[in-house]
Amino acid sequence: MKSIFNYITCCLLAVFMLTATSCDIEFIENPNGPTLESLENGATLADIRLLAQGLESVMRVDLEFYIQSVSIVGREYWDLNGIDPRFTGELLGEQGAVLDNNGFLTTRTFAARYRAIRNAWTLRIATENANAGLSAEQESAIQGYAKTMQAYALLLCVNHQFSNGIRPADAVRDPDALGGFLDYTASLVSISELLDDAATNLTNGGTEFVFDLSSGFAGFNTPATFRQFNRAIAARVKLYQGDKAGAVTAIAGSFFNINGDLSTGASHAYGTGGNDIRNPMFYVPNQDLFTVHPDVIADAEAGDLRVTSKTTPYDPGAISVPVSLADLSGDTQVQMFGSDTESFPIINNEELILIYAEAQIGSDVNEVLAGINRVRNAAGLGNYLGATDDASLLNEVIHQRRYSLYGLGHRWVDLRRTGKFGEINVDRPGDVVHMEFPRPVSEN
Amino acid sequence: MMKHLVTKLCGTLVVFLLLTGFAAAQFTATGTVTDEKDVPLIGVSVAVKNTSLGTVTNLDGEFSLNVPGNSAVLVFSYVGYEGQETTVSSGSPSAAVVMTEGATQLDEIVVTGLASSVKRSNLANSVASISSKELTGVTTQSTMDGALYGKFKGAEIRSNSGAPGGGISVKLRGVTSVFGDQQPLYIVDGVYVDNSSITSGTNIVSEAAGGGNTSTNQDDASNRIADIDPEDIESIEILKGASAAAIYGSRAAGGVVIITTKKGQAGATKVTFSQAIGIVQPTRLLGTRDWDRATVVNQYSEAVALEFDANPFVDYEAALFDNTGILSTSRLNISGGNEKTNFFVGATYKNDDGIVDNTGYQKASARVNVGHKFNDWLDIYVTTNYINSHADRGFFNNGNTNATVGYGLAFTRPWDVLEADADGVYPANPRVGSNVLETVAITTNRESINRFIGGATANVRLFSNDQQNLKMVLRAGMDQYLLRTTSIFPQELSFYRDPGTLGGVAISGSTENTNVNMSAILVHSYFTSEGLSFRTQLGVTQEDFNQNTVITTATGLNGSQTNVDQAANVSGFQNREPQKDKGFFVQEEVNWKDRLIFTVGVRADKSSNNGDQNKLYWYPKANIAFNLHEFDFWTVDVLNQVKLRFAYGQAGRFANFPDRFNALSGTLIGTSSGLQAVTLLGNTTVEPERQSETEFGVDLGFLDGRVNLDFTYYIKTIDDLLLRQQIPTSTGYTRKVVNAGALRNNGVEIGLNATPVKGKVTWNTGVNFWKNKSEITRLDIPAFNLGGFAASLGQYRIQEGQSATQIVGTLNPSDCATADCSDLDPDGDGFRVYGDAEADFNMSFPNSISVEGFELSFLFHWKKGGDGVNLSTLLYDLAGTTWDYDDITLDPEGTTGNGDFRLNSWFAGDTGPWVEDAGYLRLREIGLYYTIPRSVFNDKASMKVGVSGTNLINIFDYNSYDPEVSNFGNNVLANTIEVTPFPAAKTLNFHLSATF
Repeated sequence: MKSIFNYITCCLLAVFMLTATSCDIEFIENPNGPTLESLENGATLADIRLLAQGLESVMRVDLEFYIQSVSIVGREYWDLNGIDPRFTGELLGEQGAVLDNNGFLTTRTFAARYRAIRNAWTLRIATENANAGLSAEQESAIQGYAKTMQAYALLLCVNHQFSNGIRPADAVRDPDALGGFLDYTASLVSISELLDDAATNLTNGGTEFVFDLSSGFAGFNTPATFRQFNRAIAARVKLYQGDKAGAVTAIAGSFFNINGDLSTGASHAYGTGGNDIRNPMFYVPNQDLFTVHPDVIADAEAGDLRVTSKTTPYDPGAISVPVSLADLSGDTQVQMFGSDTESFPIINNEELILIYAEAQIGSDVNEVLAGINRVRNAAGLGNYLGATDDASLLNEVIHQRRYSLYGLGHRWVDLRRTGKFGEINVDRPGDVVHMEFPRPVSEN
Repeated sequence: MMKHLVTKLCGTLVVFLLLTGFAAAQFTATGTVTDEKDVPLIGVSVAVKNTSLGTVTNLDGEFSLNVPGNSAVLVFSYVGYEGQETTVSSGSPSAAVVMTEGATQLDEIVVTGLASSVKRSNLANSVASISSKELTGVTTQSTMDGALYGKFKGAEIRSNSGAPGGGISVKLRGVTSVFGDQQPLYIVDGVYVDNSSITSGTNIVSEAAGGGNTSTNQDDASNRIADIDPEDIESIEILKGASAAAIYGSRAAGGVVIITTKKGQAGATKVTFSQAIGIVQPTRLLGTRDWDRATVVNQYSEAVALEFDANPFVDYEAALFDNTGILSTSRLNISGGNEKTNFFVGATYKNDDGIVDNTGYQKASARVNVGHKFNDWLDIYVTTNYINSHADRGFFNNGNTNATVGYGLAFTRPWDVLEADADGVYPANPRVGSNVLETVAITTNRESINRFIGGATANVRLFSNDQQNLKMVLRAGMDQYLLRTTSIFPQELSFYRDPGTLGGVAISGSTENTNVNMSAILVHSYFTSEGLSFRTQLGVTQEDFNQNTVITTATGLNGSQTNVDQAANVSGFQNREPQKDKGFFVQEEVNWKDRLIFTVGVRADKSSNNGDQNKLYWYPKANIAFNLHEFDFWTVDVLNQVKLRFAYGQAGRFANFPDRFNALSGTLIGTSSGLQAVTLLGNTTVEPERQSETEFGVDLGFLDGRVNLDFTYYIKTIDDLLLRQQIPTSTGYTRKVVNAGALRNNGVEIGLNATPVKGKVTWNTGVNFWKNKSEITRLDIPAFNLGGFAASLGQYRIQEGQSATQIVGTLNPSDCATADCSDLDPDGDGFRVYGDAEADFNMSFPNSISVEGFELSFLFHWKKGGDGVNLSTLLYDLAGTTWDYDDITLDPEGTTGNGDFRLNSWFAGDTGPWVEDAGYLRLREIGLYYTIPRSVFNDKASMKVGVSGTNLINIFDYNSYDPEVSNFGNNVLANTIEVTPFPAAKTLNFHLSATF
């Protein structure tokens, strides 16, 4: 009798153990977002839309680290907030300070640009494998859009990295098998080719995109008009490559209009809703102490409206003026935007006119002057009356670019590509002007 | 594999069950048990040695027990008393036992497993136990984890800041993970209790982690174990590593803290009311720079000097921190019961101020524990605890907008005018950022908790005879809370007045957390007449965890409104983390006459958090203890205990929840929503970390336990280290989850406790010493920096062959003695090692002296070495406001002031000025009590009065408020980095308690 009881106990025990452990645990999906695997294999039309719209959005991530770092190194303005000592120390080469290849000034903008490129690749791969009922034209348009965005992100990267070069788009398609770096010249070639390839896609892309673009791309939100944006970026790249004829050709396909509104162009839109982001280059008056470099004001021609429209003197009633930090002081704040929801220009007609003018140097003085004067007159200045030799004209174009494109991240790049780096005055003994940012430590 | 094991174990069990003894003669032993004052002791357990037979004494201290055979040894044990053995026989079946309060811990019962406990003298591990007296007997403790400081060996306990409401990190025996949860598993009465730190979402205001992130670990959140009321706790057992905690499997790699709350005893109902009233003050103030006009002109400008001339001088540090807050804790305990039912009711109301205005901590906690014995074979025990608390935490730590109070203070000079005008409007800070007086006065940053923790245990005795018994322990527990975080930064704040700003921010967060755990365990005990006993355990466990955080952020507030719908813009954030685990374990303990105790077991776990959610991970254990003094040959009387012990075990740690996904997150541009890649590349095959620990030691007891010495050495290795490999960011990702390394901790723990004087005057004293050293023994990915902000600002570096907590920085090339810098940077990676967060060693010195109703207790804690990164000093230096800016103590040439000296070295590339020795010597707690004898109250009541304090003496070199601080919260490896924190505080309390 007892043995039967024992036997039953033992069996109960065994059953209990097995039932408790043999039942499986169900796979728990990520409740917080869709996964890459599901998107890259059999994406729906809704997925494609979300990826495309997400790409435009992600282009803005950490853009301020790029814009501010190149503007500060190019002595367009200083950050005198004192929140991070690197803004007045490392960036200005204080006591010969070198840039940290692991600091956020170097790494964050690089990583953010490639993050956008990754988003574009996810869109491109998802489009290739989609179950979204896309026509060949629609697919082509998506590819053209994604490639153009990749090219623009790469351009910002190579501006920062200069002689260190970049990995081109094709080299980062597979995150587990990265391709190598190209040198500066080859990097620009690859960007230019990617833009050309994208332009062909857009030409074959039908009449409309399957996704929406924000107000920043108003006027550039069909394959045909987006192609004009693509050609505008291509013109900038050609200029950097020293290919003036190529720049002129590209401009012809862009939205360039010498008599048109200078502000026409594509931009990053910002907003305050939900997961949107605000324009980080908007500086609260007398509070965010992004301070205009005194040379910008000193070197301006009297009456240049661009100075007053992009900068505002600090109000002594609200803050101690001059604003000083780390032996730097200034009395004017960077004020390019009226609010944190204004768009940040990517490229506009004003830049295209100046690209056109610069590209005509050595070919057609009248066209150069037409471009320069269009911009000068708009800024409240009279026609250019200086010498018209190539060097003088280039100086004038670069001078106009300094004010027309103030705070948009051009000055430093312009001085470097035109060999005028020596024109930058340092502010404190021992400061140096950085020529390029180091390759991020993660890439080595 | 598993089926096979079950069959085998079944077989073993059958053998045991069939080995039934012969029926034999038996008699009834009876007796009484009293204490030294002849007061009957109720509930003393009486057991027949080497059998499973036993009973407890009744209300009159009497017992009656059927004993087989003609004679037997009865073993008496009672918490807080020395154990006793008495021989009874059929000829003299009665015994009158007098038990004495014991200084020895040998008979203490230590809870070590899911359904089992072991006598301390038979334990093969160094398990730390903390009694309620040690925990809360000396002084009033704000939080449970804060009460643990210095009270046991092998732990590094540090608070993140002085903000009220907790925020404490507990690391047991060194670093146990690099990216995983560093904290131990907390189990309260069998319930798996959540210990998350949950972001309040204030990053939108501080931008500490850069703009655009809702979630950050820099917002000084408390951790949820702080909710547990220390006054409820009867004892805490700390399993410090895998060798002791293997039975807890994949959650035990950080160690396990087993908390047992108070339980009613059969007997007269006892009511205790106690009240503590106290004060809290800053432990240290730093002062202001020694300003004079020339200094001002030199630091700033002539224009600023004019302000210096014109304005009054205000010490803003003193205005913010030099306050005395009031502390109040009221406590009611009621306990009682009879032989069938016992109950315990505990209620606490606590209302503590912080040292900063508008900060504080209020907690109401109520507990009801009830046990009931239905019959011979079934009893149940139910614990319930409800907690409601509010912590106003203030707004401190790092920021990138100059808005946090700590940051703002660094940039505030004594002549800046910040006082509110007649209309109550505060002026903007004339220099930069925020007006600290205003921020303290009108912002809110609060955590509110509603929490219920409930557990039930049923013991079912399935079968029992005089040689064996089989019982089933069924247990279920639930921990459910709703955390509401409310942060309000009104539109009237000077930095939000301008229409171009965020225009006021209201953040409302809610986190719902539900943990449910269930287990069923069979325990079979078998005793042979030769003094050999076996205990077999088989158990299955299941745990479900679910956490759901929703944070709603509103900006552009409608005037003074603070509801999130009274705003121009509203955005949301949500994170959900569900997890399901299942596991089982088997364990066999063999005890030969308490001389040799051998245990072997294995636990297997699977979890939805692993890449393969149905793969079983096995965690074995084995340990052995030799009690040499129990052998007949042992004749050294002066040595009453000699125990050699050895233990080995494995335990695991899960990957973090998002680690197994390649997820995309939501984004919005204008009116179009979209998907964006995240920066962490997941790993769909991620595996848990595996910890193996080997521990051996010796316990010695001299002079009948008047002096005890224990020594433990351990080697703890963690393999399959879960790392976030830095990958080229040109992939679009910054990090990738990999199992790619191993680390090892070696350590020693030595304890000496003694009772040098006993009698009318009793003095208990002790010395604890512990030391741990970690090393990354294998790293399959390149060395990488971790934590902090940047190499030049001090970071941890994970590097093969080096300590896991080494602190590195950039190096000043001109410091290099040789051209290649090989003396400062031998591995040529461009980083110089400036320190190590790991303490050289820790020592603590507990003491208690009692004389005729007076009792004085105090605990000193010495942490030798261990470095921190002090970035507060950096910010003050940059602002030119450092308290020691003009002192000349650092420059070897004696010419440059400290502020300039630090900055100059740093500009030259040297991170050294910010890495400081964070060691300290503290009087952790001290208490003096007087118990008014019962006779004064006609034996109707007793009363106790006292005074106590925490952190009254603090000695350290660290150049800030307190070396114990973390800008990044408690749950990261790099938790020794300081950025303008909430300053630490000391407390002084007066106590009165009455027991009826």
